[in-house]
Amino acid sequence: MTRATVIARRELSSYFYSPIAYVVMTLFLAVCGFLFFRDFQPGQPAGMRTIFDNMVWLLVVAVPVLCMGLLAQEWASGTIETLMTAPVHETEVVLGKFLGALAFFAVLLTPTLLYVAVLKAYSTMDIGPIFSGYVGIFLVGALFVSIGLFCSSLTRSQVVAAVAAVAILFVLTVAPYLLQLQISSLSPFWRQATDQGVYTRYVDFSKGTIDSGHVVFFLAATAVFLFLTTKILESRRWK
Amino acid sequence: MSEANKEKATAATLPPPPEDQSQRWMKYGANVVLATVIVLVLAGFVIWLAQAQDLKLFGHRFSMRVRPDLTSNASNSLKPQTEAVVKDLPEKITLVSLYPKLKQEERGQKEDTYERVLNVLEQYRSRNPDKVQIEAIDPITEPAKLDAWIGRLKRDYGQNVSAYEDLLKGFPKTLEQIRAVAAGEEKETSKLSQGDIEASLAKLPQEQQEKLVNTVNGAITTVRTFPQILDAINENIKTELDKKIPDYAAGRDMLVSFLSQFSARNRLVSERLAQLRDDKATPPAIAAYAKNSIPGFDEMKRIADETTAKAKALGKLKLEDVRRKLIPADDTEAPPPAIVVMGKEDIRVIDFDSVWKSGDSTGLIGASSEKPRLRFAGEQQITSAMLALSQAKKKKVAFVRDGGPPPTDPRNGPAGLGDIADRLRAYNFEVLEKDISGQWAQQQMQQSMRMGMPPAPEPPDDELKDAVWVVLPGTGSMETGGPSPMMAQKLKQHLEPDDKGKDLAVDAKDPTLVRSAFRKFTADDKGDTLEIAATGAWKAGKYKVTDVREDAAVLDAAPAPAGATGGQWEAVPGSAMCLMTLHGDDLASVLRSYGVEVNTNAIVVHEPIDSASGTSDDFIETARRSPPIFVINQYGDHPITTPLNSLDGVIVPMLPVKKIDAPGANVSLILPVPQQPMSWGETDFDSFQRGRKPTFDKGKDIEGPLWAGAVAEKKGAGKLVVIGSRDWATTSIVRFPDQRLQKQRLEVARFPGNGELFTNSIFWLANQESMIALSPSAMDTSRIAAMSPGALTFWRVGIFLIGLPVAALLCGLFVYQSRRD
Repeated sequence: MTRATVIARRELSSYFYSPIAYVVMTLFLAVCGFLFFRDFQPGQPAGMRTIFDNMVWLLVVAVPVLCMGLLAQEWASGTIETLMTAPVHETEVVLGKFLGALAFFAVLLTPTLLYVAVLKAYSTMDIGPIFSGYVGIFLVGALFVSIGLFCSSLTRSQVVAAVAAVAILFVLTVAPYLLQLQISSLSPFWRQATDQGVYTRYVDFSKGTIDSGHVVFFLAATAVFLFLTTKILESRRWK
Repeated sequence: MSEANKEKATAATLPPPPEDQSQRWMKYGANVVLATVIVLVLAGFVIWLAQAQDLKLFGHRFSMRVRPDLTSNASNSLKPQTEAVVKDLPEKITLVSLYPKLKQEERGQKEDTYERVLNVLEQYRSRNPDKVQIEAIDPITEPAKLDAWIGRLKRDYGQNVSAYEDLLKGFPKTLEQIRAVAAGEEKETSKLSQGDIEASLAKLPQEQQEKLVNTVNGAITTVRTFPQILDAINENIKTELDKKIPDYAAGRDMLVSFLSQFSARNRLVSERLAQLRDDKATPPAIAAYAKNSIPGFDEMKRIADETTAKAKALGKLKLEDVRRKLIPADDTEAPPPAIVVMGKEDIRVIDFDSVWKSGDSTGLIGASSEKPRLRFAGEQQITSAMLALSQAKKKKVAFVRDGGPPPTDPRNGPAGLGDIADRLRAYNFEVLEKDISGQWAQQQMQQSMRMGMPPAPEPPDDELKDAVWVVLPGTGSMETGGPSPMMAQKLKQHLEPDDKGKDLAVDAKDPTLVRSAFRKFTADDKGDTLEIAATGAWKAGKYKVTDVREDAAVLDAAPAPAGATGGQWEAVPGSAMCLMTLHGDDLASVLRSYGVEVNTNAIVVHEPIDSASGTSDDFIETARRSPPIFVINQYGDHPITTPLNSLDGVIVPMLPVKKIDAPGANVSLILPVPQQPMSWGETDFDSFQRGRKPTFDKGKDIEGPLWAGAVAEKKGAGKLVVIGSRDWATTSIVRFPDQRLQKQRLEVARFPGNGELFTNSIFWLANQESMIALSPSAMDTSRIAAMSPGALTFWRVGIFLIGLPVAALLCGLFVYQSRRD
């Protein structure tokens, strides 16, 4: 576990030297700022629901870009051999990379706490839904990072990894939502299926409810993609 | 060792050849596939387990799912009672939102009702996805979808519209029949010459003269005046039928109400004519007239009864709600926003005003001039509609008074009683009003005869049997010197009905089909309960009438084997809420048997609070200094009151209610009167009203602790709630808005407890306990406060739009620069 932490720390610090991370952060904050700009007006509800709801769509693109190089770059530069010959298990490598990326994701969210502070100053806001919104977006981020990491482990091309991750996230997040817009014409099976979509599961958090079912879904789905990534790394030995 | 054996031994000692790629793929790949499948199945199982809500293990039910609601007012959570109703839904329900989406330019100007409604509907669905489906149709942007949906409504629920139409269109024919018979009767009347009558009368004693004159006059009035009123009704119906969307239900109600009275009138005239005919003292000319006229009045009664029965058998007009609340008069207009609850056989429409409450729609007085914010209060309505759709019969509430005009009409009674009636209608109750003395119906009839207009309908006594009564006892008139005993008699009959019989028989083939010669079952009995006593092969119990076929009731279970006879049935007792009044009828003959006594000659007061001890700008604070006003937030220990404890309520001038011994009665006192400052029951209320400060006179006044209400049950009788004030839920203080919340543009009653207790009592009396305490407590989240334009621009543009992204960009540039250096 200590080795995973070391890898995580190294991964996190590498983000701060990567121009792409800053570009993503700038764009992310610009979009969030625009959303909050529209909502922050006297008389409007003192909440961050619009930001939280739209953040998911933003992350469908942002997280794959952040995670595309996690393993693909190691494959492309050949450093994966060095890493794998070091006395670390594949699980530790995957966990380290995951935690490092997730920590950067948390850093990405940190500036938005300023919105909370300003809301607090100008209203008697209800902190519960904001807290649950952050919990939800963090869980969504964890799942997206694990998917990004998985896609990054599949190829040595960062662009292919990012596109693959966006495609998977589209299927898990955007497609069920679009299908749900046609809910009246959906059969019960498809209705159940679309209920498993990321956005449907996430939206309760943004409303102020933490549903244990949704928490377990995000944790389990994240664990599944981390497991698959480990298996991909292990396959290097026998392929 | 042979050569062959040597080769074998050598081969055994050699290491196995290395696996080729395909073998490795098979071996490790299969392992990976197997492990992946196991992990996916495990993950799926864990997710399923975490969200399963009603698991059963070794006979125990449990749930792994928890959903803490972090909003400060629990606005995301359905109330536990709603969850119970939704979980136990017997059939599928579809909830349809007909709210338009908010346009971009309307954001910040209008409430986003679309999102809020959809969220609530989604919560209903999530509680029972198998039974609850939701749909959203934006009536503005999805007109085709809307048309298709309305077409579906007509197909699925509109079957009995044509039956209503046929009834109303067929009324002129009925009228012709009545008119023909009436014309014949008039001919008979004209045979009586004035001279003959006067000569005959002169020979009779005074009393008999009066009887004869009254009967003949009654007959003449009936045949001359009633057809005119029927003509007026016919005209009204014609006008209604000419409308684009006729109000069929109102037309039918008008017919039923008037024809019932017409039938009663004919029966009365026929009976009296029969008496005249059989009385040997009746002059021969008049006796002959009576004999010839009776068949005509019987015929008119038959025609009226036949049409009434046909009208009653139509059942409820299912698309009435849709017609009234959803279909705009002009085809080019979009329907108003609404939530539609669709059951298997019926439909309910919850309109905008029922779910979005503001200062105007809550009936609060002194609402702010600023445009009030709307507050969603639709959970009760949606849940009530679901409950109503799963019930065979709509519950009724009847405001029963002892004389005078209908009190829920704002022109006649306290303003708030109409609001209470509207609130009950919103909970899917059918609200009726009845003057138990019959005086009002008589006045109305006389007035309608004078003006040739149809009288306002009053329900017949039969319709009140299964209603929850809200009893408004009178104070009597100067002439009578006090209240009439009629109200107490009728109330007793309602709570402890003596309708019973021993002639119940089970059908020879179907053991759930029962008949009674004494009690003919009608379509109105569907959904009612039939109480059967244990005798012989008959099993005691309360059986539900699921259907009615040719005067026989189909029960939900077989009470006895097929062919059994001699079953004993009893009418199910009714229930009532008595709102007592100062110097009014104390209903002692009924209440005492329930262990409740109300002193109608005393008022609960407290010591006057000296205004010098502090002044207040708050109207409420000023009002509560007045001796008969108490602010309370404890209501007593009973299922109807415990959910309200901590809500503010107000005791307006109220009568003290106490508990007395009564065999078989179970009484809970409610509305405890606060003891600080000292309170008592003031018997000299009149001098207090004249300005004298009340003082406690030991021996004369009633010592505390006091209570202002009671809830009672009695074995073999109905439920009873007694409140020591007629104005408890309607007084102007109750409708005063909370000034603190008003500053936040929230129009919420300062004392919501009174109204809540009223509706909780009705739910309890109507055996709808699951609806108790379903109050729309959801409040809006707080709003961003006003700030100077400079501050607003600084934050919105300077920080959110530009500051933070630019800061991130600068950090990136700094790192890039430092790395390059």
